[in-house]
Amino acid sequence: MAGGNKKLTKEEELLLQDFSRNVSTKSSALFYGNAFIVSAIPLWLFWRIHQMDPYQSGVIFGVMTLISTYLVALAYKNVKFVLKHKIAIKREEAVTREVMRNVGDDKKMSKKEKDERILWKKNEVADYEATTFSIFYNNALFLVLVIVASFYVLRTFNPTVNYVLSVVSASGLLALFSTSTPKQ
Amino acid sequence: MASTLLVVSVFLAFSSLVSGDKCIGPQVKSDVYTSKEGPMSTQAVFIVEFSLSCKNNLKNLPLYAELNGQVMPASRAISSDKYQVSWSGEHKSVSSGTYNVRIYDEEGYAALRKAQRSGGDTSAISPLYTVPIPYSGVWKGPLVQTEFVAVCAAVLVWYLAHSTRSRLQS
Repeated sequence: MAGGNKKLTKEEELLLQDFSRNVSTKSSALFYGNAFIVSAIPLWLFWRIHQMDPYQSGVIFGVMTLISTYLVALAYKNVKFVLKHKIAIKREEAVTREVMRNVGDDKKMSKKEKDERILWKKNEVADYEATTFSIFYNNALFLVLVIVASFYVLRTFNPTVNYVLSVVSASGLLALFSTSTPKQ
Repeated sequence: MASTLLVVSVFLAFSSLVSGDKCIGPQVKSDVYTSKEGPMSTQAVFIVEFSLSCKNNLKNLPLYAELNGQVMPASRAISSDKYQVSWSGEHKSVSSGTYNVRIYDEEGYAALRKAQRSGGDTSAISPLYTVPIPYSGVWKGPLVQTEFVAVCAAVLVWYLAHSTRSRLQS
């Protein structure tokens, strides 16, 4: 009877990694670190422009920053996942050319090994580019949403209410937009 | 002869009494403040602080100031010989230009009030001194609000990111 543990090939592992939404620990740290920094930016805005006292509003600032960090990191992961495959397709030719230039003349390496190396390199390049672009795109969108919400939509509200609503709506919309699937 | 001398001496005595209430050869040193920024103030304000010196060394005279038909007493500092007077008006109704503050003593003030009540020409009453106030208007704020500039810059950056993303997903 078939069963037991069948060891995955390197190619299968790469494919699984490619199609999985899970991110590596390094990527996760990068996402949460960036999300925290971006979520902390509205603190300066509300402290210096809207004149909120940081000591009195410390608890609100802390709670909202953590909520926003989580939602922004979620948006980073979602956008990265969607973009990674598209970037991999676009960069395939260039990566293949570069890898073949390095190992093409290596007689000791089999074709299968070369293909695995190309696949691995393509995955690495697509992963890195998707990660950085996801961070850039989501940061830009988050800042637009925060500025529009705090200076125009919620301008007549009390600063505390303005802060809570603008941060939660900006990070919430960011997470919501990141779940949209591109048109096929 | 004696009666002539008496008349002359009485005249001179009265003259000295009269000249004791009137500032002869007035010299005014003034500092003028006018509003500079519109957003920071609800009204345009003119403040004139001045000191008066007379050749006959009169001090602590009650003085009055008139600007655009408005007359008010000049406040006097207790510890110094400085006077201060101020006016305010809506920004829209105070145009740029040079305004002349006419300073009157009690006699001039009485004549001015009489002329104003009877509808006569107040410009004919010569003031003790005139202080010019040059007013260039107030700064009304930036042409474009800073939050609008921030929104435009943020939208531009987002648009570049969005167009790159669309190109990648095509």
